[in-house]
Amino acid sequence: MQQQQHQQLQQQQQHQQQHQQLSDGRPSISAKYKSLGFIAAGTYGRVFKANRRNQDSRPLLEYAIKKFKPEKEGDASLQAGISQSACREIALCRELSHVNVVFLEEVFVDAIDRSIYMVFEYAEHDLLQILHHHSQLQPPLRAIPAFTIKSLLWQLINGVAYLHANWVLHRDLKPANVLVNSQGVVKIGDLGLARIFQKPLRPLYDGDKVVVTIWYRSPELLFSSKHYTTAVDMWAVGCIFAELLMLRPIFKGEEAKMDGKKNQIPFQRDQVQKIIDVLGTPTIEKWPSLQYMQDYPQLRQFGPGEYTLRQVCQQTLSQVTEQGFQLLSGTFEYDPIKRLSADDALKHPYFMEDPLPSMYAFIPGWKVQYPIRRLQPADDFK
Amino acid sequence: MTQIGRALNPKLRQQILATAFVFFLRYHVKRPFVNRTNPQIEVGLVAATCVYLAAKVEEHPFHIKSIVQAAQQAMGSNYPIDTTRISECEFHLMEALDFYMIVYHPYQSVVLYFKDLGLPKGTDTPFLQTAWMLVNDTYRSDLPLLYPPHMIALGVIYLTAAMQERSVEVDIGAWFAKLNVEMNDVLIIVQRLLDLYQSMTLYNRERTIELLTRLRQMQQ
Repeated sequence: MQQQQHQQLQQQQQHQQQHQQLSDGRPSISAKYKSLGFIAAGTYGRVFKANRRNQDSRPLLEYAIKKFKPEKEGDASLQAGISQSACREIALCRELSHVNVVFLEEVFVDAIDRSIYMVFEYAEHDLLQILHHHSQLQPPLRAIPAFTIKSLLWQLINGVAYLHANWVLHRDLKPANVLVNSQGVVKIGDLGLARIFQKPLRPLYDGDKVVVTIWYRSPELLFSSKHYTTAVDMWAVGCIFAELLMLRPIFKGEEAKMDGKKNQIPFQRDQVQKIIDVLGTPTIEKWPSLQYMQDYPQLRQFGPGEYTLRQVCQQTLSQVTEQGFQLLSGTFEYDPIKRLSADDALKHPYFMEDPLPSMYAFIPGWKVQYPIRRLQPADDFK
Repeated sequence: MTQIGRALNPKLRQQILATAFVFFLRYHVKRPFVNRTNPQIEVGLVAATCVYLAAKVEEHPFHIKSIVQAAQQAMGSNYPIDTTRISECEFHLMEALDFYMIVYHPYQSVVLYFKDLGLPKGTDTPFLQTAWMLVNDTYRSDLPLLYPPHMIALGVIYLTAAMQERSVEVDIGAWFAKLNVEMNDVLIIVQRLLDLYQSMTLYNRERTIELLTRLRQMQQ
C-alpha cells in the first residue's frame, strides 16, 4: 500500500517536472531561497533581495521577493482572502514574458501565516534612483547622456507595446516602477494596478476610481473620463521621457486630497494647471470628447494658456533633437485618440537617428556608477 | 459535482462562472475529491472558493460574505462554510492552479466565427442564443480541460447548425470544409456534449446535496 502511494507520488513529481510539488510536503521559501535583507516596505508587505540556495556552479542569481502580508479587513478575525492587487499581479505576471517586463520566476504561498511570496528576477536600479543620482552630480555628468535616455525610453516603450498588444493596461507607470538591471535593461515592474482591458465585464472606471500617480496622470483621467485606453500609459511614458531630460517631473502638481466628509474624488486643479502651463488650454476643436467628460465644466476656471513645450524642451538639461521633441509632443497630445501609440512610438524617427538606442542603456566604462540598492537587515523573510 | 457551482449563482455574469468552472476542474485534476491530508477542504468549499477567486480575476469582485451566503443557499444553511475557510481554501486553490488564473473562453471565438460565417450579429438571434447556451453547458463536462476554446466553439457551432438546420441559410458544411482543423476532434466534442445531455437528465439536487454530505463524512 505504502509502496503504491510512493510510486504515485513519484509519478506526480515527474509530471510536474520543475514545478513545485504542492502537497503538504512542499519546500518552504526559506529552503529554496536565502534572504539577504529587505529593499522596501509598504502597506502590502515587504520586498526582499535573495539568492537561490544550492546554485551549484551556475552564476549566482539574484531575486527580488515580494511578500504580501495577510490581508486584514477591519478586525483581524475577519479574513478577506487575497487582495485584488496581489491577485492581479500574480495572474498577469504568470502569463507575461518579455525582456522589458519584470519576470516572475515563481510564487510561493504560506497557508499557515497566510502570506504570498512572488519571486521576481532582480533589478539593481530603477529610474527614480537614476534620476536622483544624476540630480546630485555636478555638470557635465549631471545630464543623463542622450544614448542612455534614448535606450531607456525605447525599451520602456517596447515593454509597454508588449503589454498593450496583450490587452494589458499598466495604469501606474512612473519612474519608481521602471526598473533597470545592472546591464541597463529596462524591466517594467509593479503590475498591481494593471488589468486586462479586452471586453471588460464592468467599465474600467467602476473598478478603481483613481489610477496612475498624480504627476503622470493623463488629462482624460484628470477630467474624469468614464472611459480610458492605452493612451493613459503613453501619457505617463511622455512624462517619464521629459523627466529624464529635465531631471524633475514636468508636471509637478499639488495633489488635492480627498474630502473626508463628501467621500468624493476631488478635481485635481493644480495638476491640470501645471499641464496647461506647458501645453496650453485644451479646446473642444482639438479634443472633441472632452465636452462629455464629467469634469469638463471645471475647465472654465482656467485662464488661457500658451503652448510652451518647445521652449521647455530648449531649456532641458540633456539636449533633445527636433525628432525627440516631436516624439514628446506626440505623447502629450490632449486627445487620447490622437496620442501616439506605443507601436507608432517605436517606429518614430527619433529612434532612427544617431545615437541609436540599445538594449543595454549604460555606456560601458562610464564614469557614473549608480548606487546599488541598500538592504535593511531582515530575519529570513519576516 | 460541478452543478453545485451553478447553484451558487447569485446575480453572476456567465464569464465569471465559466472561469470558476475551469478552476474547479483544474483543481480536481490535481487534488482528490476526498482530501484526507487536508480534511478542512472539501468539494463544496472548493466550488465556492472558485467562484470567489474567479470573480476577482475577472475584475468583478464580490464581498466574501455574499459568497458565504450564496453557498449556504445552494448547499443548505448548515453547510460548514465561513469567510476564514474560504480565504484559507483560496491559498490551496491558487497553489493547485499553479497560479495560472487567466482563462480563455469559447464565447469570443463563437462570435468571431459567426461574423466569418456571415450570420446575423446581435445576441437575440436564435442561432447565437443556442450556441451560447451550448457553450455554457460545456463547463459541466471535462471539455474545457481537453480542448482549446476555439475547438470547443467549433464543436458548438457544428451542433447548433445540426439542431437548427432550417433556419440557417449559410452553407455550414462548406465553411467547415475550408477550415484547417481536425474535423475528428470537432465531432468528438459534439459527441461529448450529447453524452453530457444524456447524463444530465439524471441530475437531482437533493441527491447531490446528500452526496456532498457523504463525501464530507468520508473525509473525517
